[in-house]
Amino acid sequence: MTKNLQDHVCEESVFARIYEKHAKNIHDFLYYKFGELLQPEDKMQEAFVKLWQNCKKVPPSKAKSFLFTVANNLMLNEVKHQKVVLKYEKRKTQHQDHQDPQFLLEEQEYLKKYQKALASLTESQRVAFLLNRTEGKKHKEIAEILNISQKAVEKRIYGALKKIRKEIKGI
Amino acid sequence: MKEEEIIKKWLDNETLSGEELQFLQENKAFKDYQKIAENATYFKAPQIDIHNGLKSVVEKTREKKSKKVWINQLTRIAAILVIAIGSYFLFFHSTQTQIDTLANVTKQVSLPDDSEVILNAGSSISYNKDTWTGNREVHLDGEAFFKVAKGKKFTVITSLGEVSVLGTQFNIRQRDNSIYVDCYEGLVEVKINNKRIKLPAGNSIAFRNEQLNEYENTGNSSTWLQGKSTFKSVPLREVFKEFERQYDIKIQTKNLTLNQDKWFTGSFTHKNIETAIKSITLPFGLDYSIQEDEIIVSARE
Repeated sequence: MTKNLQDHVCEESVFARIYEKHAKNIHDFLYYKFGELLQPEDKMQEAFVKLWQNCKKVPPSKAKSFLFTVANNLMLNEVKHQKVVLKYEKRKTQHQDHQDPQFLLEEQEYLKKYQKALASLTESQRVAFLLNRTEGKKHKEIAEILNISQKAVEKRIYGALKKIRKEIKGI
Repeated sequence: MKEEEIIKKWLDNETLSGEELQFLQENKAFKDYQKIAENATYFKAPQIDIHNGLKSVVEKTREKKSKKVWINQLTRIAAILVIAIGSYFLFFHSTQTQIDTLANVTKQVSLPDDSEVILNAGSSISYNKDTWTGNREVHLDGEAFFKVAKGKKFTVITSLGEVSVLGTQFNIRQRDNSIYVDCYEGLVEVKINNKRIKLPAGNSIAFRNEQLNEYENTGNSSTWLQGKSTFKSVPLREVFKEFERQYDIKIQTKNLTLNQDKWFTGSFTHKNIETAIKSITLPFGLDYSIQEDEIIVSARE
């Protein structure tokens, strides 16, 4: 009986568990794929609202792919083929005072180039690369999130790395 | 390719052997890769608040549900209001004014410009109050006497034809397939089947079964206004119908066929049923008997 109940996403505890497990991944996925302009967090939230509304039709095992598909579609509905620009954080380095202005300038320049390079990646490359490098996810985890093989993840990340270097170096 | 394998391993944060590290250090691209990998954190997605996010999703779903119910009810109320107001305007607020008379009743109606209409029993007129000043039009079904105030063209529309005048007194009787127009004052124009006929005072026309007859009338207003129905060469069947209307009673015929050859000229009073039926049946040599709610007319044996 309890097992049957748990099979329902409509059960609030089940729904909460799904949210906690996938919310961040979906958000990050949307963010890295489409950038921040299209409110990835709102889309992620909307996808969960849709899941709740369809909770009777979606078994927990299908919830993840449902969420990713819905979130992705919500985004695609708004994308007007614009270039994705990821904002880099303006971090205040703690030892700011000790750095000479030229170094700071160079760093700024570098990040600008980096930004452009990220925009030039394919969506799948960018998502895999940033999930790996900024979220510190293992290849295996990324493969699970994106529903692709680990080999494919490796290929995407490696390809992204090479391409970014090329772009920054201007080769 | 060895290089690619090692870099992939390095990217996956796996521990590398000394030999592998050595290999990477020697690769001149590796320094760039390291810098790229380190600086990638600058592009980290903003943190999201899992706890509050979940709360707001739950709230939103509840809101949506209650909102839906609320909107649903609102649309229902709105629909009812629209229907109610719509039908109010349709049935009670129509600019078309309609006046009916039942059998056995006549009614005097004042039109917006002081013109007068006297409706005979079982008739109805309708006119548009709002457009009256520019367009004096009355729809008539039945019989009515018109006293038209001077002014613009005054038109009476019936299913058989139109009668228009400038200012006059005239009577129209349109029953079933026949129409009778009597002009008592001024000049009336009658349009039947796209034919226009000018009818001066003291003249009448009858249009019956597609046949048009003109004749002179007597008196200066319709006799029914004085409580009498007058006919001139009218089929007996029509006379009976008028009788039924005036007395609100049925006339049954027994071993008698109301052929086209029975024409009636004369009148019957509206005040006494016995006298009235006598004045119709006597000239034809017919018998009658008055029951509670019908009169039986039969041929004399």
